[in-house]
Amino acid sequence: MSFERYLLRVGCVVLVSALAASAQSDDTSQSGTAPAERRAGNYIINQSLEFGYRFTDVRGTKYPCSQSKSGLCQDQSMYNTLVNLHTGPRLLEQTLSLRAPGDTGVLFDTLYLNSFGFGGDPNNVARLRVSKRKVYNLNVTFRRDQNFFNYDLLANPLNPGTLNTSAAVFFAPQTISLTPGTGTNQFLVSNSPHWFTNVRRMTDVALTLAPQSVASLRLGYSRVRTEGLNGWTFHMPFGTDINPTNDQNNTSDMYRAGVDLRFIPKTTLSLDGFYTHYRVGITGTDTNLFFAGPTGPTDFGISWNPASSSPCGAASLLGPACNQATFFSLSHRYRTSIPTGQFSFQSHPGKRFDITGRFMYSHAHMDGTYSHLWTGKTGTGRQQSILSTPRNKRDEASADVGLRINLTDRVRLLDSARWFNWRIPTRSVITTQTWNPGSVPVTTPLVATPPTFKFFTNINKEERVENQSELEFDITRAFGVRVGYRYTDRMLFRTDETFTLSTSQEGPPASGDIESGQDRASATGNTGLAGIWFRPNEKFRISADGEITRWKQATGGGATEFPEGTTFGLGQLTRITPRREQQYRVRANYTPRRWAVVSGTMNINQANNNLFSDGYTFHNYNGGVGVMLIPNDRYTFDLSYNYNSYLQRNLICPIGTAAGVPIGSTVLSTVCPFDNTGLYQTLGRYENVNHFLSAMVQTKVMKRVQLGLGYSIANSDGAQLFTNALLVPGSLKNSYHRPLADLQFEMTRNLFAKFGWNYYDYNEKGSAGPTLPRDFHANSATVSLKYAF
Amino acid sequence: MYVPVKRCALGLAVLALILLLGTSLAAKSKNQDNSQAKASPATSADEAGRHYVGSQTCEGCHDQLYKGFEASPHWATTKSSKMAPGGHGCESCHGPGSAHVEGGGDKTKIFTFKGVSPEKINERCQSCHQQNEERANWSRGAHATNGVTCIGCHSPHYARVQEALLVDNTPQLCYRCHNEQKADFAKPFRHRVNEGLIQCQDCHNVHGGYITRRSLRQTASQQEVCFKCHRDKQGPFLYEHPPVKTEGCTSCHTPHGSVNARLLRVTPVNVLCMQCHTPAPSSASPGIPSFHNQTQKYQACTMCHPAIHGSNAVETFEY
Repeated sequence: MSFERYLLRVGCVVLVSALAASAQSDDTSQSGTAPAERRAGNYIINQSLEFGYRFTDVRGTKYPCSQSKSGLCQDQSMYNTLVNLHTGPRLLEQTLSLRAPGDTGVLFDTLYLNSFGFGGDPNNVARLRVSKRKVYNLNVTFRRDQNFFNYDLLANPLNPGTLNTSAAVFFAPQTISLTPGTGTNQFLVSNSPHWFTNVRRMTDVALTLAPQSVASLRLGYSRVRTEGLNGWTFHMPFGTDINPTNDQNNTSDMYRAGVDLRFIPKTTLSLDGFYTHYRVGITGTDTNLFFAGPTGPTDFGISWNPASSSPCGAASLLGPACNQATFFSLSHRYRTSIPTGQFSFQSHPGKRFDITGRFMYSHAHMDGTYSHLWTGKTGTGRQQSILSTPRNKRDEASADVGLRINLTDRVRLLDSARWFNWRIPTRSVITTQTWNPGSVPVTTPLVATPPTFKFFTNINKEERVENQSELEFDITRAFGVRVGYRYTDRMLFRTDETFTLSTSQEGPPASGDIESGQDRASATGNTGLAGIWFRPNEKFRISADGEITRWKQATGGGATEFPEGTTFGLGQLTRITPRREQQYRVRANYTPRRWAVVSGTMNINQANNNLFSDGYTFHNYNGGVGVMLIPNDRYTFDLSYNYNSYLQRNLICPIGTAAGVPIGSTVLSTVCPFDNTGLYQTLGRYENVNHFLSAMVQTKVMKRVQLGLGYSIANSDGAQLFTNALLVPGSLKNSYHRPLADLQFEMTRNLFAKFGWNYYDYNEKGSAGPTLPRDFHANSATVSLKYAF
Repeated sequence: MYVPVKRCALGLAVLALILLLGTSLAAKSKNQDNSQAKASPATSADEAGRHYVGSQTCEGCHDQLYKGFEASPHWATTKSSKMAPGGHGCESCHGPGSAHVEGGGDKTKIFTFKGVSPEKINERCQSCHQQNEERANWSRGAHATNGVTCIGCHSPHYARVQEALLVDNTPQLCYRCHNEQKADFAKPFRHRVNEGLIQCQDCHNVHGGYITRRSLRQTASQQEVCFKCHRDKQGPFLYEHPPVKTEGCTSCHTPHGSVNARLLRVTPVNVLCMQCHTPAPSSASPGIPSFHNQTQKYQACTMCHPAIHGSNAVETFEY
């Protein structure tokens, strides 16, 4: 039975049963009214429960599902990446609210619990808030986020279709990666090499005791736990890129204890202590051993480029001289402890003046081990193991002061000052052992060589001072202006030292083998700020503000430049860190009635780095309007439109052959140094224009029937630099349609039958390329019963 | 010239302490006045001679409003024994009502939140609600400086959402002004805000925070708010990718939503990388080496450098 027919039947069943139930219902049923408040003891209780069943059906036009290595159709993978709603019973919504008017509750005065998504949806959330006004406030949140990501263009090597391999060497599962129907034995990577399927569980608990007393206590706990699998690519040195899978189990626990002291009138002094503990546990293995190699199951890597011996030259493809892995394992084990102390205060002695301040200091200490071992063959050897024992620290301190002084009833001075300093000193001994150094066939017996020991130590640090002062003037009660100035000063410093050791213990370096460098850079930003707001009455408000920044980046330098180059050595922090920025925003909001809102926004962001050799230009223009009408329980109307234009470009120097030089580029320009490596200058550009339109109407078509219809479309178009003929625009050019409908019947008092339908239609519109454009369309329908009582 | 930041910080700290001490002393003397006011009912009238009439009097005419008020958290103020009469019930927000009553309901003789500046409106709410970590910096936040009032988002009498007396659920409430974010969260790759997993206020302190630009929150260890969930990108790493720390996550990612996978600002990823890693004279970032031929073979940079946020073993971020 087709999904559409199935959906139709389900809808009919709901309709008929709802109407039947409606006919039998009590005549006193008050359609369209909220359920009457129930009282139990001192509490007013409102609650609702919505259980249902979700049906989904995903279709696409790309590959037959049977041709996917993962067992998922690519379009199914894309659906899971963007939507990930699946069939099954669900707790669609639950709310419970208890209120004791006048704070007459025994254990609590208010309790609010809301949850949704349990039973299989990717996002499950439960939020609980309980309070007894003068005694405590408790907030608890639990969130479960099931993530799936497999956008097959990401990190995909886009192998060309001209390889001449023998299909006979593949194990059976690998044959499904051959391009369907072409007969060219193209090694197609049909999944993203970088994928993940994991679950992140986030718990937050915050308890405040005696919140209104002169001394109140705050306790908190947060946990973020991420578990699951992710695929990634390991680059074998002078070899190829194999495709291992990592199993991760990372947990972060944060504990908080703090006290607010209000012994001084209108002033709160706060002391807080935080302790964060983060555990990383990752193990990885190569799960891509799908080839019948010379020594057994083998991973020849996913990037096939015989011209660069990946995995080897075409003449000996898949032989013992090819780069390959027959075994790979990896382990990350780290523990990070971060105690943090915070002192803050706020004082509001009168209408004229208020001041706030905060000082924080934290110290992070991380230690652990990283290790991996691979066996196979690369230009480096037959086998290699690496062990690193990092001991990293991070010290951070910050101080903030905020000030408001009402100079007159209409003129105010606002000031925010911030000092921020961080320092990251790290060190590690890295032990490397190689078997059979050089390029030897994979069939050569393993012979170990003595390990080498490298010691690396490094310090990164930054100090930043920022002060923003603004003068606000309420010209009238309906119109105000402000002008201001922000000063920012940044200093970055970096030093490192590397040398070899004779043992795995930290100690003096081996003679004459030290590599070191240090560098610093500084930048000063001057920003002019201005803004106006106009609020003639409580129904209309428009505000506009702008800021213009000029960064002066002092020339960096140091005793020694880094041999491998520096990030900020030659007078700028990065090439896309702008020297000039300007930003303008306008927001208008008109609320002619309490139930009607009309809004408009406009944002203009521009930045550039006008160095001759950089040419960085950025803009983000954005404008939109929205209308929301909720005149009564019978009608709801929501319409919004947004336009967004994004541009980011600068001069870049890719390496390429003349044949591949993009049109309009200049070979061997003055910007890119002439060093015979094939550098050419071009504009690394990215442009994107996005239109978004959404409309939603809800109305009561009959006394007991509520109908909702909606449609949203996000359309994207743009242009980008193609450094290679195999590249495709991918998601840069796409349209994403999402119509929806919902129908609700009041079957009897407080009992509702609901039928919801969502349609997801995602289409990429660019050229095909080695991977076909991603395209799926999916129906998701829910049938549910809601009981509000 | 480099500014001696340590000296600036020390100066700021000393200034803060002096101001704190000064304001505390000032507040103490003011509080003594207030204590006297509480002790003497005769002083519960304002300068215009208006005095407080009690919420029951208000109920006489505004019974519907009172009904809603009675069910709201603000009703608890009617029972306060510690607060002065001005802190009780309806008049804690609307001011003394005697002139309004005597004038037969004359709206001009009571504070109605209409026809006054946003500052005055916010002042009313802040008089009770400011002594809180979340709202301490309200007056310097983007909302306050742009004429947004507390009652733009909260409605003591007509709240659609009883929690925090909001006029609408989030994120719809935020979308009423921040239309562009509504579009962002509808893009293919996005944070799950519309789905209810994340709320705007998880990352932004809508009442203004110490970080004034975008009102962003921080983690408990002073890191960017992104690291609260994306903890694995935080480090400290043996080999840091410096821009992650110095320029922030947004130098490569658009946090709300994007048409690009992994919320990248630019695709393909190689162009994004080369915008910094180019051997041009102005760049000291390591340029791409000669064997990274872009036209011979397409290969995303992150294929060989997947640990791009930082590595504990290799300076080229390969694992």
